[in-house]
Amino acid sequence: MARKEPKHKLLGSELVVLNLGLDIFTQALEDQKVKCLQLDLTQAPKLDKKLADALDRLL
Amino acid sequence: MPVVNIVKRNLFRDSIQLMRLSEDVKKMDGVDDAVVSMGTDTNRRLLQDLGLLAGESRGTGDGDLIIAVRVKGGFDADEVMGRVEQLVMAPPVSAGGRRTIVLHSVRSALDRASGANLAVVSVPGSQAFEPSMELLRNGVNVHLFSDHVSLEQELELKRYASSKGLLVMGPGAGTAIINGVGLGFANSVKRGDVGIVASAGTGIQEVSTMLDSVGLGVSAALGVGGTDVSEKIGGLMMKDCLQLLEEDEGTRMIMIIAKTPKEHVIRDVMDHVDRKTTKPVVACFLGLDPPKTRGERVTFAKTLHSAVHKAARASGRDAEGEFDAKISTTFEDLSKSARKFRASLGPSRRYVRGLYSGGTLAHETLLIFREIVGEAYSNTPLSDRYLLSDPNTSRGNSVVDLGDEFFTSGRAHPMIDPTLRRLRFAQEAKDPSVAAIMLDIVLGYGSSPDPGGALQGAVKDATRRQQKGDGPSVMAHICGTGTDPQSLEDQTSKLSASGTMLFASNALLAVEAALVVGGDEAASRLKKKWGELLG
Repeated sequence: MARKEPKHKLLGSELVVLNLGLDIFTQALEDQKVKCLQLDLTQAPKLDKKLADALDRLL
Repeated sequence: MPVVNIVKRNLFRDSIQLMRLSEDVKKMDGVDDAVVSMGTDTNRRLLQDLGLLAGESRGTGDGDLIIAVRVKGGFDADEVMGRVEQLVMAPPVSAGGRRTIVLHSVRSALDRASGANLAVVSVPGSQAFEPSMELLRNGVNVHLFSDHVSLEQELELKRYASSKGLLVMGPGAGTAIINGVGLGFANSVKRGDVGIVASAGTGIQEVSTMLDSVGLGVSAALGVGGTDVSEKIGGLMMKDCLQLLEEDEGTRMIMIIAKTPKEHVIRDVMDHVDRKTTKPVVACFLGLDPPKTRGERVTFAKTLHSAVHKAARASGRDAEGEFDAKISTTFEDLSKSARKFRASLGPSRRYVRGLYSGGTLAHETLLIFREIVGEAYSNTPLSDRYLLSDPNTSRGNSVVDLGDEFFTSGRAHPMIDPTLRRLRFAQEAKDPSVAAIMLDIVLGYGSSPDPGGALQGAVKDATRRQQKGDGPSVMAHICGTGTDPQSLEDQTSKLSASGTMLFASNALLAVEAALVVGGDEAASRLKKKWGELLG
């Protein structure tokens, strides 16, 4: 019988991390050789979603 | 030397940016001392203690930024403050500078990081819900470091995550270890087959580092946030994480750590353990008497120390021997050293003061005090009667959690920035009624690069005075490993050199401190409870 697929797939997968906030955690992840993208979304709540996406495409 | 304050209304910088700005301003030409902080009550008090508070800052609010500078003699204050203001008002830059990408939506972020499966969110709590929910909608697990997320929002996030087979670790989740990677305030520990699920951040740190020291490793440590075991959330994510560890082939034993859980939530969690797990479980519910034993597979512990001891025993390997060799001590040894310590004290020195950066460790100490010597005062007490009316002022035996919201609003956590604890240490050391000051030194990713070094001068000064009969002793536990960025050996050597008495676990530190102030009566109580607390 095939083994039941675990509900969660996080354990055992390679971590690819988005870091929204304190950059000390990005430093820590980089020290551990983990792929991490540090983001600043502090303007996000103030913008219309379409406008936000359009702005980001320009970056 | 003139002290100048500039106030910028409604300008937010996060606690790490503020700490870095303070350091950068201090190095500027013409600056004697400086602090850049948000205008909270705690920060204004800190400025007052440092002699850096000027009239301009007296009416500030939590959302206002204060630039406080003592200008060196011989310098033009206006010219210096002009340069300082320019530096502070420049757009914020991260430690890595180029690493931060300013984006305006989560969608754009996911386009740039294809395959992202985990997000660490540490934006202010009031702004954390929207991006966290969007991340979940896009299949990304969330480690939610931010606190001040409402219970309603937490429940909505966790219900959604649970329905999609995703994790929300937090809010207020300080620590997690996944696939050998430390997130938030985690330590560098061996990989192994013990899985931990906890609603207590420094609980994970204490347990995982002790497991490491006895040769056991961690398969995963999942911090679900303190409020997960509240009435409203009902242990939702704790149960999902238990299931995850049950299904994980790399996990052989599960440890559950919870701080002040609701009793019926724990009953529910333990029903889940009974019905849906098959692996050995060691559970430690700090603040609750262990539930009835449920056979040999599930064991309960009253302290973190005891939980690791039981896990070492249950592992069936050499770990129990390692525990006995590296961590355990005997009742006779502890009481003998406490008696010797008591004999060296002047008659006025009757109390201990715990200055903690880890909330779970402070809580464990409060519980041990209640068992052996009576409750201690605290800003996070076990019962309201022992609430410090002013968290800035200790009384009797006090255990202060400096990581509590009262102290961290608008400034970095004391594990990151040791300034507040250094000042509090100096305040306690001057009190002639203090016999000893207890410290937790928490190492690991994200923590201060040299927490022991930051306190070394103050500790040395106190212990020098103690040797002359005019100061308190200093007792500490270092929570860390040899592979942590700060290195356990290095921190041990710094603190030992400054005269600090070191203990292999926080529970041992707390027990010894309780014996010092409680004498023979406390020793007699400890003897009866030895197995419960340290067995």
